[in-house]
Amino acid sequence: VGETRANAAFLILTSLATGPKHGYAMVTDISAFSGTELGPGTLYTALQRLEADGLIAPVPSEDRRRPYRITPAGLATLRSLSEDMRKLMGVAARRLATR
Amino acid sequence: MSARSRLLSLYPKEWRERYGVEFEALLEHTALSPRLVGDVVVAALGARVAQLWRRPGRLHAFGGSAGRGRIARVVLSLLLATAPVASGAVGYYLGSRDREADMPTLYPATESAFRTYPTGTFTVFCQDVRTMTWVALTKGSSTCPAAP
Repeated sequence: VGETRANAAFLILTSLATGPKHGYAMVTDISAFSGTELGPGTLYTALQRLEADGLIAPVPSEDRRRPYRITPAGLATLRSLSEDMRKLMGVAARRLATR
Repeated sequence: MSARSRLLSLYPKEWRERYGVEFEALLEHTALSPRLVGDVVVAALGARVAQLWRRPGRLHAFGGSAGRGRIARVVLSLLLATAPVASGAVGYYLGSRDREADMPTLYPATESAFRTYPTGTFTVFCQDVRTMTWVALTKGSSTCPAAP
């Protein structure tokens, strides 16, 4: 469960890095760039947590579909996570190269 | 009441007041399927448990009566209280497997992670670089062995 939640949070932050999006736009964007189909329950559980942590914020809207934007803290978190993953991928690539 | 409204009603009232309109708008653009229903049911249950845990003085999540609220709080407390015990048992089992394999170090690791529990205890996890899986560290050390 924890891993799923972490993956959903990473995918959402990545999606919002290109600009504010509402729930449906996030789901379609995440599906397009990762192939992951986030369910509405999983999406909003992650959105609630990210908002509570100050990593995303709602954008005022008259539409029923409320958009969210990534905050400066969210961008810093995404950069840190991306760097961690880049290092890990480097280790994997170097080890695969020796086989 | 439509199927989508029924799904929304599974969430606590406070959650619906905050996210209900936008969540329902998303549901309207999502095809109903067993997978979707399962996803929402699990998430709604999680939201109710989270609310119950955050606000033990106002337990409306399981029906509203004080008696039901007390029962729910006790059940939840028992579940959370047994989590570290269960984690310790799993860790002991993993440690036993390591001793049986006569491994001088637990696992070569590239990353470590902590899982904390409401009681303040925690379990350390290391990532096995051979299988890329996370395993509990159980040999009295709080740091993972370095990756070769």
